[in-house]
Amino acid sequence: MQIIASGLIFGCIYALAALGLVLIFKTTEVANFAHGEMAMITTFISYVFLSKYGFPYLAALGLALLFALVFGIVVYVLVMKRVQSAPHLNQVVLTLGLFMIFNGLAGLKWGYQPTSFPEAFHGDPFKLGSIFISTNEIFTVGLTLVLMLLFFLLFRFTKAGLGMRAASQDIMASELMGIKVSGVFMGAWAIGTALGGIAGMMTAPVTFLSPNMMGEVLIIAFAGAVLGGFNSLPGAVIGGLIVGVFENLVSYYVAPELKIVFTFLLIVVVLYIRPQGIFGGAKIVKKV
Amino acid sequence: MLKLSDVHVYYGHVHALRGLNMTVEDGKIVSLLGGNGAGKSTTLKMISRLIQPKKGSYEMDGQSMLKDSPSRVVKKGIIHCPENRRVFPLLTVEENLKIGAYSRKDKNVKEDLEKVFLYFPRLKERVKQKAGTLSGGEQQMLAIGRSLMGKPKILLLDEPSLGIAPILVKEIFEIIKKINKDGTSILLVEQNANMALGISDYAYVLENGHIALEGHSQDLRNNDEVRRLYLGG
Repeated sequence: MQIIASGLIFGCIYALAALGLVLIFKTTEVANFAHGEMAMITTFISYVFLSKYGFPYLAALGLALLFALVFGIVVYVLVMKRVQSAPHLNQVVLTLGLFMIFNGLAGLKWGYQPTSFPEAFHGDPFKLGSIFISTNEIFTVGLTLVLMLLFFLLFRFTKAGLGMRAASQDIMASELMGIKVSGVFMGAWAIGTALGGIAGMMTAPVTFLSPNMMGEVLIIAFAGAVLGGFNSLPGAVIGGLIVGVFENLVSYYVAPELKIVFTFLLIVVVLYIRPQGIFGGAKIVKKV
Repeated sequence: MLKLSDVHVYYGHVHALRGLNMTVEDGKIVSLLGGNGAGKSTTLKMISRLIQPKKGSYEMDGQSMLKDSPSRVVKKGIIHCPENRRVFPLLTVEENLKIGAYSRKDKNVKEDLEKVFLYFPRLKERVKQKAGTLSGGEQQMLAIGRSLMGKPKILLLDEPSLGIAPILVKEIFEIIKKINKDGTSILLVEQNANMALGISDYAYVLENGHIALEGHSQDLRNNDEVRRLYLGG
């Protein structure tokens, strides 16, 4: 029980990171390899607010997320928008370039020495039913649930959400209906980056704060996203959770070093049986 | 009134439109005929500003539209219902129709929804159904209904008969006539020249990117060359 519960808690972080990836991919068809590094920079910014200016945790979190929204928009407007008409593969390679740049810049500015990063709430774990859980972990799970609910409501019931869903299905038809597609793309980058940023701030207390902190998280988030189908938002969340639990089970029963290996083995098996991922529907064929 | 003069469009090195001249007068149905690759869809895409012409002018009611974005063109009442319908398959019928009203700021969307249902009662029966589950004919109705939600002054229809059962084609063409009677000008692109000439006031025949022939639809129907090339004898 305890292993599954802990897995679910870390799975929430993967789910958040995967949600950001899938959101950007679903709307813009670009797999953003710089997602983790953008999250890492957001986390560093929150650390600056926390340590240098002494803001309380939640204020620093809020400011960092505001930064992430703007950061996403800047990356889109300055970089991705200019290459929007290029083949998708080229755009993906460009995000790999951004990965290097952000990683290098963060290293220059803040150094590669891992620093400890505070949790949102301190305190020892307590017993809840048959499992041990800390206030901070409850916060992580709660935040994930709230964000997901918010997302669901946004997509389901607002005009902007409807526009995003339309744009993710057919860009040309959306444009012909008067939707400003670049605005929708900008929104996806902003929100996607903010989601990644939250994942970063949840990761940092565990892995320590350093420019390379998101490497493994991003890979596993990608795995979760692929598992969930890569173009399904609920799929991203469930994929992230499954990977989190699976990874924890492997760490406990096999060996911690092998968790990534087994995680990818799981994905190979799942994709072997269901090539479109668990929630990926039949591919919509676009006619040009 | 929509007016194109001497429009040239290139796809890379391919000269797709070569000095196109055409006019859609208010209240009329104008058809644009021609074979595959003649430039019919390109013309519509140019009008809805998805494609930028290299040369030429494009005016709506005397104002140049060449600086406008696609969403501005929609706001000005020129709405393009694309080829192959392109409804949003994972959205419901109702959501698809609401997307059609996306650029509008007024609150009368509900009323217009009812108006669309008057034209297409079938859509009302399927209002909560995902658009991807509709038949081809129903999807075409939805695509036209979606365009109507944007309150078009001019509706650009790209091959509404494509891949649809003949009985439904007839029904859809009747509705197009009705929409026109209710005050919307229509620019109709069709391969099915017979049907198109049957409902339109004026027609252009496009060949290799320029207008090869134009005239009142009635006259073109009786023109020997048109009969031979487009009406099957």
